[in-house]
Amino acid sequence: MNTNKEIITQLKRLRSVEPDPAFIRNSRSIILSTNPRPNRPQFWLWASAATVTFVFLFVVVISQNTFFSPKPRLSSSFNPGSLEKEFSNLTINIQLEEIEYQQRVNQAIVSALNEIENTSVRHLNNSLLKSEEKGINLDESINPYIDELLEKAIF
Amino acid sequence: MNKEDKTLVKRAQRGEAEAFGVLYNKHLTPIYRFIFLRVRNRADAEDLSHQVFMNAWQNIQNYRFQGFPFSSWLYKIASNAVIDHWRTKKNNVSIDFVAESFLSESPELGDSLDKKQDVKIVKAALTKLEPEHQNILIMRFVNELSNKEIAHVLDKSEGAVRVIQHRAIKKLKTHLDGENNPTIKNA
Repeated sequence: MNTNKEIITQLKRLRSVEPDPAFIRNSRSIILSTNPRPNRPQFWLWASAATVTFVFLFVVVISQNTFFSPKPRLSSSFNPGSLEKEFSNLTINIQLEEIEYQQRVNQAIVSALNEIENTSVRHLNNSLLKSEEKGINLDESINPYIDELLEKAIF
Repeated sequence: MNKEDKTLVKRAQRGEAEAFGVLYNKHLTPIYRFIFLRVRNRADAEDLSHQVFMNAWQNIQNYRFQGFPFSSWLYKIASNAVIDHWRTKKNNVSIDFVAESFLSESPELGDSLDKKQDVKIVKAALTKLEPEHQNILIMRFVNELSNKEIAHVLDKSEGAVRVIQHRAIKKLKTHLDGENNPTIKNA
């Protein structure tokens, strides 16, 4: 059984692994015959430059909009007092129209409800019923129950 | 960082190829050893070692002193090169394959047969470990890096390195006992 100390001793024997001298000479001369790459600016320099550029552009754009854009001219005929009156009249008119509409709708609903409630046939338009009667052929009916109802309605 | 290395690196950054040549002579062997034990093939180890130092020279301007030896940077480059090597190679070669030439390659002619056999067994057992375990054992016991430096190279804490080191030795011990005792190996 190997103890930890023996294992470490055996590992240390691997220290004698070495590269071939010919390889060392060739590799070294090839590497040193090349030039190192030029220094690239550090990230923070790029970041700073980008920030400054952005801020500058931002200031230019804002100043363009603030100082150089033409301001809209108000018409001299605009009178705040009359404008206010006009708006308030408009509001009232809208409200009145709404009320009228609601009233008409309510009346229609009431009429409809009355019609529904009233089961007698007297309110039905007789001339209309008569004209519809012409189109009905009771002899060719399919459902006798419907026929009965139709008879009641018409006559 | 070693004062001498610091001076050499600064000179190399100013474009002095001779200064980098000195760094090359100083650090090539341990880097080569690390790569060789990881890739198990002399030709590949030579290619990758050359690539590591070429990258280092090409990018020497971007190296920054961070309180660690210059060799830490080289080990980082080497470690990544080995990972890339296995990533591309594993489609063609099994990661478990160990060439006899790798095992038989004997470091010193003067070594006794027993010692050569021991080295062969250790190499074989090492290849059976996980890549991370191999890295730590090679860096720590073969190349004698400190745990602090290993932690910096592998982007781990020193504590984590110690724990992994302990596990790696334990596993290596299991494999070595298996090699020495076929009964255990075949169990």
